[in-house]
Amino acid sequence: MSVVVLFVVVVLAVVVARLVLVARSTPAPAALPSPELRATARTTRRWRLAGLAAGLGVGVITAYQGALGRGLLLAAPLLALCVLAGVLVGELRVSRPQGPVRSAGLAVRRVRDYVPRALGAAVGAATTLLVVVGALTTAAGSPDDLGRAGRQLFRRCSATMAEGRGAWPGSFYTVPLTVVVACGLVAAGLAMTRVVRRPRQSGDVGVDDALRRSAAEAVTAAVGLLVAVPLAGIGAVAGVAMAGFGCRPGWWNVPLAALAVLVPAAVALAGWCVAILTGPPRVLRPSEPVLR
Amino acid sequence: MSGTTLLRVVTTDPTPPYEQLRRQLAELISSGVLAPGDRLPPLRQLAADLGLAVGTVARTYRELEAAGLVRSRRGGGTRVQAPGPRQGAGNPAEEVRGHAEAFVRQARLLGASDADVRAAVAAALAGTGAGALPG
Repeated sequence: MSVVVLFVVVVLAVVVARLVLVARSTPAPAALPSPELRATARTTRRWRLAGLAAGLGVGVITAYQGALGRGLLLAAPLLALCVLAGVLVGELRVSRPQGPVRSAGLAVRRVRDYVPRALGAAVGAATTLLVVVGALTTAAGSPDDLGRAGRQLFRRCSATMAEGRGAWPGSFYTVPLTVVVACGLVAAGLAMTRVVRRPRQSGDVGVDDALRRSAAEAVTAAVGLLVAVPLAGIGAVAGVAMAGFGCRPGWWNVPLAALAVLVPAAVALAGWCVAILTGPPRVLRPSEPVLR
Repeated sequence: MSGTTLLRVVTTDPTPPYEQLRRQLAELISSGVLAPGDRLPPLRQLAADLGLAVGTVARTYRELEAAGLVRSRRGGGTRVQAPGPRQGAGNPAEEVRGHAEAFVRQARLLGASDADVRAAVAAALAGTGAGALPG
């Protein structure tokens, strides 16, 4: 348990330190070309950070409250859910055009024009893998010695001998996880729709699009966090349980090898998503062409 | 379609916003800026960008559809419709008749009676002088 506490403290310290560094090094939205765009950048950024801060609090509380590791499993998805809520509220607070003369372009804005391709593909693959791995571990789970469904992997080794190992990521873990992930995906869908459909701000169309891309990137990264951390957790727990079996059949080496690749990949994706969520918004990055 | 083409709505103008939009879109279609098959922005996107109610933009699209300029499909958005065979035939009399039909259609959409339409044509002819149609 103390290892887990130490890990949580270190992760929190790293995240907070990065947020402070980023806040110091990021140019103010004052660099943007119109008051409406500046207000949009400020509002969306503040709500995104508020979602992240709330998510850190909710994540830490959940990690400590959930029984038998369920809290640890749900902490990151709940954090991601808070980030998504922050992005959604920020986008909803972007003001509608007010003046007597209003203009609009004829270009059709589509979600796929704003989602970052590489990250989007990686997050899509991780979501699919989470569904597949979660379904397999749920199907393979058995009740543990206290009758909690899906907390153990059971195998009859011979006519007279059987072996059971847990913790196992069966329905005891995957059912609440499915609820949180489903809520997160719905929130992501709503946030992404709002990012695309919110009013176009007067000023530079390129900057307005960059703000939308930045928000879409945050939504994609939040979904990445939503699925990558539980994917890594489920994969790691399942791998440890399977590797510990004394009467492990030979073919189990195939899923074990797959998990050995999957878990580090999911951890890397989670790190990528954290870096995006704690970094400066795309539109305020010095490398972004709109600020040159 | 050009991404920089702009629609403008002036809320202080006595012309209702849906009519301002309808005129601009009809003009863009007749002038060829919007080609057959081009997709118009989704209702909600255009309404949000212009700060109008979705119903206002929906009315514009309905009227453009009634005039045969666009076609809406569930899930496929609203697209500019190819002009009918009578348009662009190179025959001036045919073209004049096409414009007259469009005028009558628009006038009926505005609730004008046949007598109103005839009176409007007569007034326009009197205003420009008989036989002084631009050539």
